[in-house]
Amino acid sequence: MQVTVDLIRERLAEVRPAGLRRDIVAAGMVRDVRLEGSRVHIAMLRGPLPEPVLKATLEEIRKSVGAFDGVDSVEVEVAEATGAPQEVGPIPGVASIVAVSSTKGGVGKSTVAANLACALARGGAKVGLLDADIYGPSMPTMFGLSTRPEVVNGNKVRPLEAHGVRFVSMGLFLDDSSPVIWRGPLVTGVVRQFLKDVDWGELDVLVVDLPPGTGDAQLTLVQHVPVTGAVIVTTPQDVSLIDVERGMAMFRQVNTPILGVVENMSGLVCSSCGHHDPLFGEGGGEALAERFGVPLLAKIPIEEAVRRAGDQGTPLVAADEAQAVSQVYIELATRVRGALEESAASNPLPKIVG
Amino acid sequence: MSDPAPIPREIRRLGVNAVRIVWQDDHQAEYGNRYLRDNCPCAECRENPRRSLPIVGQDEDVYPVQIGIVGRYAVSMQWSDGHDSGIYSYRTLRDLCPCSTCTGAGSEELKH
Ligand SMILES: [Zn+2]
Ligand SMILES: [Zn+2]
Ligand SMILES: [Zn+2]
Repeated sequence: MQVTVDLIRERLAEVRPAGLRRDIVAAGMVRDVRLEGSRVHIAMLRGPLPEPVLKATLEEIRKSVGAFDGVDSVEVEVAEATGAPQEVGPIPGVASIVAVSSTKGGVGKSTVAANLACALARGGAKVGLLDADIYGPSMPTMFGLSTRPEVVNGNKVRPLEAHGVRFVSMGLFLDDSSPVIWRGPLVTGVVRQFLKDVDWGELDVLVVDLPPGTGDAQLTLVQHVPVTGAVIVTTPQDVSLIDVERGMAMFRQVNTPILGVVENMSGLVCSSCGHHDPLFGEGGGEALAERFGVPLLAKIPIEEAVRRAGDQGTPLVAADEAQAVSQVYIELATRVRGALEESAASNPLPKIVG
Repeated sequence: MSDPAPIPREIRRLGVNAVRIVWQDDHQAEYGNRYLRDNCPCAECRENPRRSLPIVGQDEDVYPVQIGIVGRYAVSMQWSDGHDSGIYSYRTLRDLCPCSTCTGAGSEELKH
């Protein structure tokens, strides 16, 4: 009788390792069976088997499958089935993740995220930027690149790169005709896909630009992205304590440490003399930081140049680092890196072993 | 606002029988695989509850093939019976803790 994959599987279903109540097929340990001419290739998960049991099991598989007429060799590949390596976090190669969030739109969150990413890169970090602002992806405009990222090696998305920052916009993967209604399951699907499919390479910091607000979409994102620390962007004229409280509660709910508050558009820098005018009154971010016990990481003045640079496809930090605002971002980047390191050290992820 | 959720330091699969969780506050316990599986928090399992006793070594016909980290608040478990939709938050895992301190008198009764 001609040997077939089905016959091999049938035989594997007779293999029952000591201590296991089921055979290896029923237990879900057999992942793949291939037959190439007279060679059999079996891929299996190690499952919970202790070393001696695994050895005996492999021996039994080789013997029983090798007994088929027409089979010359049996190769069994065993994968360890514990979680991903934990030291570097669950996104392979990504050492830390900072989420940039705001409880409402119009506070310049994406501009902050883009400039923070550029400033981190300027400081020597390998930086990625995930534009998760599904309601209004702005990174393509800000970085002057709106091409769809390439798909390499069959299914890996290679981020675009500009100004030393690798970036991907989730919005670019949406069908233009799809309504911008993001419900939990859809977001979950897209986020999982992204965590799996984007080939970031080695990153020191991944900046995630979250959609503004604290709804289902945001919660789903922070639930699935193992954020090392979150930054909340606000404006002085618009500080709504209830909103911020909501934002902080959302991060607490998913155990995500809050690194601090960034007060954006906190005054006007005169373009001729560099003199700084508090535009909306001072101290919103400070009051916030004091009230919630998180640091005020930066006060970023409004400057016409920031917006102009953004519109022209180069974040200001990358376009002109001598600008006063660029200097504020560079300082912010230094603080964020320090805070990320501290957070990673004091909030380690569980180790999954055995 | 509720207390910050506890966080595990280590989650270790103990052969075919159990998973041991050691928490950052040094609390630790062994969870029987069947007990953990039957307490899968996914919507489907909650609609069709199956009760089992929180003891190790009873009717262990299922074990986690893969345990993955989900964000900073939970782990996913892919069970050997193919089920993989449950996301076990740290809070849920701690609430399920089968140790005698956490279960109180209940666990005493089980021993007799
Ligand atoms: Zn002036
Ligand atoms: Zn379930
Ligand atoms: Zn306990």
